[in-house]
Amino acid sequence: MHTRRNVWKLSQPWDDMLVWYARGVSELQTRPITDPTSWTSLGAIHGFDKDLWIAFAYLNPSSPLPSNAFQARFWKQCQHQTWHFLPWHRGYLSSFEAIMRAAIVKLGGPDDWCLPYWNYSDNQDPNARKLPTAFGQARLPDGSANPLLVTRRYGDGTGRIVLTKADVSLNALRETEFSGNGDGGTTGFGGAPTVFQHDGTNNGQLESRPHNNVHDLIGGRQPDGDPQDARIYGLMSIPDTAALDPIFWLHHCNIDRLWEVWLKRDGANRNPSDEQWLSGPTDRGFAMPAPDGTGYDFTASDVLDTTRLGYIYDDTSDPLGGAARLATRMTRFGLSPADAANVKEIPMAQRKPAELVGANDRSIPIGNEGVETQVKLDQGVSRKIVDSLRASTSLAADSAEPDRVFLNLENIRGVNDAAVLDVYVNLPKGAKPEDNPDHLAGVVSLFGVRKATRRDSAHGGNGISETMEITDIVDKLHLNNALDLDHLDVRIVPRNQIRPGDDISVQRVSVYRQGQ
Amino acid sequence: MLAVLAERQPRALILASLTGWLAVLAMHSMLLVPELCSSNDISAERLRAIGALNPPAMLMLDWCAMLLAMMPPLLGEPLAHLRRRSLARRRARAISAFVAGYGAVWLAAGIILLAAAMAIAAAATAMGVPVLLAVGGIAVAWQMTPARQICLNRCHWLPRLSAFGFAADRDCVSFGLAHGFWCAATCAPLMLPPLTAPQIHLPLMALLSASLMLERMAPAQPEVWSLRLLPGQSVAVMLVRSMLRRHAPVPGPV
Repeated sequence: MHTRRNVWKLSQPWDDMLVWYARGVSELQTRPITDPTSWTSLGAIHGFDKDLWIAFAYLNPSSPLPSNAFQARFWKQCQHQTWHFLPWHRGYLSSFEAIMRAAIVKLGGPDDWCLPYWNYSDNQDPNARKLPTAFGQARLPDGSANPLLVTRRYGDGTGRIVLTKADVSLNALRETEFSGNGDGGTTGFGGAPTVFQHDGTNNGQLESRPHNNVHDLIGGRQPDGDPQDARIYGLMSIPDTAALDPIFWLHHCNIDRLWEVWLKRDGANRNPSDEQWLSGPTDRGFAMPAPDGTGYDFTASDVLDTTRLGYIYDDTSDPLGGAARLATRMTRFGLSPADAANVKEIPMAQRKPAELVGANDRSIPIGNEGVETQVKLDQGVSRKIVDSLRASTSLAADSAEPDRVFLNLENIRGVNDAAVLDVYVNLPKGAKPEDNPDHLAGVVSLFGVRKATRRDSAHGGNGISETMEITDIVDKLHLNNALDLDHLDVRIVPRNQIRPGDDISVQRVSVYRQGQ
Repeated sequence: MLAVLAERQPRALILASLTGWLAVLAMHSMLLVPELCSSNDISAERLRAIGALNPPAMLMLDWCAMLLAMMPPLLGEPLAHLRRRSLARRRARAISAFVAGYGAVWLAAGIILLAAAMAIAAAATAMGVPVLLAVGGIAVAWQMTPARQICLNRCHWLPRLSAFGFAADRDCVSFGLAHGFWCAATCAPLMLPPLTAPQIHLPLMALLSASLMLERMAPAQPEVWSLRLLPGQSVAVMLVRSMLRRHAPVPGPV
């Protein structure tokens, strides 16, 4: 059994694990793309764009590609905006790790090598949100070039990688349902049910934050150049090139670990038992290469037990200290901790579908200055929210949870995959957004938006949609007698540079309630 | 495969489609089909005779029944969008507005299509080409073009829907008109064979319905020429392959 370890707990910058990872990357990069165990073929399993790969010098225009049948089975598989996101990426990591370990052993390295993870959300470690040191070194200890250093990591545009606590917040762990409905209410911890979804519409909570944010805040894009030109973007900012950056694997290793953390932090957290998830998807299977170059198929049910895949994590403790979403919320209304702990979550299957409360009146373009919009609320529906909140303040021991409330940015379109937006609700007039974290609804990264905007892509041009829970904000407004039944003000503030050619727009900003 | 199809079709749409099929069967027995030639003959004269013997209202009713049978299974995605994105108190209104727009386009398309079917049949008969071969050729040729893929991709378009007042009604009607237009442009040429072959009208309709339903399950695709002879052929192959797929265990540590 192998133990995957926190990269920041290894000796810096060059722990043996990282030296061998670098050597393994170099070895895999010498293999031709027709070799299923090559760096490039493994990257293409996540996504592939021939022109972009040639432009980025990861593909020689004259190099032969694998057969169409091979590509159809293995390439362009990554599952995003779907409940297959976690199991598919676990199978992907497992295949990559086995191939990398075999290469390292062949080079004379340790046979217990395994992928480290990058726990950027570790608030105990001041370095945690920094890029692990080895990935910024020009040379390996022996003086050779370091393949872990990638120049196409533009971060904030200047090459600086800045992750804030909010960017890597682990609020997703508070969600108790693995899958949501993608109907305006919660998208769940792991995403909404879909078929095979190489690129979809609604992110699950973990996928949205921290996953998407880390992609974009590392990849970024160059400060100059035509926004329509994909060549100015960092590898990690675009799904079709993301897996070519060696940091990708440490990032996803952490996302995979957080799945284990979520399962262990609360016995009530469960993976879906639906056959469509366990044995799905039915329209296209998941396939990976083995170290000997042969292929195998897998489903979610094959990857649920990490020990069966040969690994565990050194740390799956709960970073939230056991804080349960519902109990925390009910104490806000004055319930004693003991009573609050007794309020039961209603299983998703028994909940009513989410209901639209209101929306803004037009699509909004997003420029560098950001944008404000007003979400008009339907009085009858917003009254239901208030009534449910008032019922909770009656402090009955058998209180039910009041409505949860969600803000949706629907059908975001544009070409800037690297854009990161802070979204605030009801900021006080004239207040600086950064001084009001209590009003921050979420941090939205547009990872994948370029492709999602193309009408001949799998998205059909519908863009991506983002759902943010604003229950805490609404609760506080209610408790401060400041909840307006008529409207909510939403302010979207870009975190990095937005240029006119980015053509970013949000078709509709809406609010949904999810009752019991 | 049936389970996958059933999973994607709300019960109401299946019921609507079944109602349509019952209406098609009833209309089929009421329409006067002249025995001018042998029972398998398909010609312009025969189609003209069907038109002459049946009042236009009856033909339009038959067309409406055909639409009700074939179209509901294609509407799962837009109707779910309308339901999700409308206030609960406006959902029925939103869906009605959409259906009005969508149905209006298909009714207009029906008039054009019936006239086109007769004209093509007349031209084919005059040239000595079997009518079914002519309309089948047109349908297959259209099926392979990038233009058809452009129309099909537009069928996946889910527009912004206003939540309140006149704007909400306007957006739903516009959505219905636009969806109807792209849907008719995608499918209308494929409906020529069932329209011009009265003797095998029902089997062709059934085949086309199943094919279109499978095709609509696939996401948008690149807008290029392709060897698509039947709608949904690649989805059918994918589903069959998926069912036959052998699951090998994931390897453990090396």
